[in-house]
Amino acid sequence: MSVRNFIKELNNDRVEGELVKTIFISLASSFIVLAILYFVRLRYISDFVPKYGFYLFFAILSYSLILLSVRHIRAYREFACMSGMMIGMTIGAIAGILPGFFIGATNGMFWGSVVGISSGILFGAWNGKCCGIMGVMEGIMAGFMGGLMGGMTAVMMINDNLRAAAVVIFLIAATILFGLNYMIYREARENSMERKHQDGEFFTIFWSFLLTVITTWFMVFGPRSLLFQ
Amino acid sequence: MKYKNLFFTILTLAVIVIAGVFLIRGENTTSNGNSSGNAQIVKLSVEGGRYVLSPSEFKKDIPVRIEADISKMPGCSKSIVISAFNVRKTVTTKDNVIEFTPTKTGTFNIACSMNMYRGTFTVV
Repeated sequence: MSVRNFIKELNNDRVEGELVKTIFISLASSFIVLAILYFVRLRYISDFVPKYGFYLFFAILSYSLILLSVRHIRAYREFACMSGMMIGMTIGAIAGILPGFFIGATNGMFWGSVVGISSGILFGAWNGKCCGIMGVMEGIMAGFMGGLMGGMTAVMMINDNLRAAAVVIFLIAATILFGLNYMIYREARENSMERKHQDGEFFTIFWSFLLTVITTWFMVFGPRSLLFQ
Repeated sequence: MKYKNLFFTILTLAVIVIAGVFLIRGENTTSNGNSSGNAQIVKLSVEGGRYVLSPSEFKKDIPVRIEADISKMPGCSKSIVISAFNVRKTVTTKDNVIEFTPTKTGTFNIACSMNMYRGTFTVV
C-alpha cells in the first residue's frame, strides 16, 4: 500500500480510479462557466484578466482538488475517529485557507476571511461528519482558523510577492490533499472498506459551478475593504 | 486498463495550460516611473496613526512625487498602498519616493498594506 500502489490504483475501476476524471470534470466545468461569464459580462470589466485572472485560475485549481477529496471521502462515508478527525481538519483548513487567501488578495482581509471561514466550516463539518461529532467539531475549528489565516496572509503580503506566495500556498495545499487522499486509500484497504456511496458527475459539476460563480462574483463585484476600493 | 486515466490526465493538463495561458497575466501597474521635472512634490509622514500628506490636494494628470519621511513612519506604515492608482510600494531609507500620475478626480485613500494606517488626498 505504498504511494506507488496508490498511483497505480488511480487507473483501476474502484473509487480511486475516478479521481483523475473528477479533477478533469471539475476543471472543465469551472473554466467553461468562467468562459461563459467572461464573454457575457466580465470582458467589459477593465483589467479583468490582469487583476483577477491569476487568483481565479488558482482558486479553480484549488476547488478541483478539494472536490476530488470530498468525493473520495463520500465514497466510503464512515471512518474511524482518528482518521475522521484528520479528514475534517485537513479539508476544513484547506477549504478555508485557499479561498480566504484568493478573495483576501482582491477584496481585503474581512471579506477574504468571511468567504474562507464559510467555505472552510462548510466543507470541514460536512466531511468531518464521517466520524461523528468530533470530526464535525474539528472541521469547524480548522475551517474557522484556515479562513482567517488565508485572508490575513494575503493582506499581509500585498507588497511582498503576493503572487509567488499564492503559488507556494497552493502547492503546499495540493501536497497535503494528495496526502489526505493517500491516507483515505490506506485506511480503506487496511480495513477492507467497500464503497458505500457513489456521487454522479453532476455532483462535481454542481459544486464546481457554484464555487466558481461565487468566487468570481466576490472578486469582481463583491464588497471590499478600504484598501481595495 | 493500465492507462485508463491517461486520456483524462492529458485532458486535465491541457485544460490547465490553456486556462493558465489565458488567465495568468501580469498586473498592469501605473506606479513608479513617472519622474519628471514638473511633478507635484508631496511630503508624507505619519501622525497620530494617520498618514499626513502635505499638500493633500493634487492636480489631475500631473505626476505626483511623494517623498516619505521614514523617520516618522513606524512599522507597516512604510508599506504603502494607493489602490485607486495601483500604487504599491514599501519605502526605505534608500528609496523613499513614490511616483504616480493621478488620472481621475475625487477623494482617494492611502493606506498601509495591513490597512492599519490610513489617510486621504484629493485630486482636482
